[in-house]
Amino acid sequence: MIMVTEIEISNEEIKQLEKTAKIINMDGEVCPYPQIVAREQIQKIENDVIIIETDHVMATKAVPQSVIEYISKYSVWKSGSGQYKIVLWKK
Amino acid sequence: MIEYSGLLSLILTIIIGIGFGVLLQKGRFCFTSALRDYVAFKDTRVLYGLLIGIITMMLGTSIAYSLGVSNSHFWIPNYGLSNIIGGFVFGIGMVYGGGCASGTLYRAGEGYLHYWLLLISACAGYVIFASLFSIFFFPYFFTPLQIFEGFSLIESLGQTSVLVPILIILSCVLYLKKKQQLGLITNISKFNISSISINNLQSAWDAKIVGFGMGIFATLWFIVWGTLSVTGPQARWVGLTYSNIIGMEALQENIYWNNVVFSGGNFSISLDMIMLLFLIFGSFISAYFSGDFKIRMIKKNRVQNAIIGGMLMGFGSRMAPGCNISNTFSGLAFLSVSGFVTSLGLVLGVYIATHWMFRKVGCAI
Repeated sequence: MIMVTEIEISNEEIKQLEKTAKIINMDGEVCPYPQIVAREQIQKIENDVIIIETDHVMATKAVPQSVIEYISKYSVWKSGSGQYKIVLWKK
Repeated sequence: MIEYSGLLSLILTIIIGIGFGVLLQKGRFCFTSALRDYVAFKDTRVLYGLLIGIITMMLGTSIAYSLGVSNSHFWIPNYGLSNIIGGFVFGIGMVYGGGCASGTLYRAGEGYLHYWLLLISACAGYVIFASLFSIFFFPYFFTPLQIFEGFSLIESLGQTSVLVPILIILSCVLYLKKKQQLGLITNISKFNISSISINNLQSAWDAKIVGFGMGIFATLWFIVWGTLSVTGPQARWVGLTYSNIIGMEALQENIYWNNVVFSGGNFSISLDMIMLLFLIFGSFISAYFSGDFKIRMIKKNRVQNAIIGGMLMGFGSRMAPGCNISNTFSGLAFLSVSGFVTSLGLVLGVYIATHWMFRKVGCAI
């Protein structure tokens, strides 16, 4: 079983990352579409970091697991009003 | 005295309903995810939680049973090929729709219009199924296929049934010890405790501790009411609502509503129906205070998922009979044959539907 650590992330850090990361907006999508798109995109794109914007609660757990073999670490940012940003660092 | 015990049962029902809602919401505990994500990318997060929940419920209910809870609290339907087909249809529906029976309810509480539509579609499925029951499903589906008498090992063993979960737990521990992975258990328990720390009320809970909690609450429910089920009481809500449209007499003329759904002849609101409402409410409260609540619109191109998925779940749960909770949770915990065969069909349905949905990116298994 591959274990990848979840790290904490601040608002400032995420703003910095958003400048260079590939941002994918998945608002309104439910399982399993965020996972499918994450798996599809992580193999395609050249950026080192992918940020998935979502309002699906389950995605915060399922998306990192869906690309676990491609990432070195991940982070989940929570707005507090049902919005999330899932940051995935590619290996 | 009767009124007092009635009130106590109602209070316990409310507590248990809210408890289930909070646990499901905090654990992001979803049967679809447990099975689909294991097939798609070997994710064991919810699957292990589910297994812990089943074994906890098995231990809890067998202890309660040996201490005197009536065997009428076991739901042990007859079985046959009909269970596999029903489970299969339900499994396809839950992957395509994006949630199981319990997952749909708790996400309805989180504010998803997608899951409200899925729920309404499942309910519409019950109504259509009921109208087809006497002309098709009874003569051509249940009569030739549902031919074996129901059997549950826990129920049939009586007081000695407690030994079964104990033996299963012991053999799991021995197996892990042999594989020198006992450290896994201590790691899991450490992680569990830290995931429910008070200064971090907004964060998610570990699915394994949620599974354990589900097993405890399912045992309490077994003592208070009987077998934990979702689509059974849901169908009775639909029946009562439907009787307001077509009239009670017309409802009673239909053999499915009268002899199957309301088989006790009691056409009033029962505790298990109330429990479902508080499950949704519990999830809403939990989501609200965790910062996870939001009214989420449904995407236009996903409306078909909710409608078709819901219909399949509605039909599948009537055909099996039962949903993921009454079969893949309670049924497995009772070691009931109908639970196993329905789960087999359900897993098969999930497997095929997952492979179809992940066809572009591929599956791990």
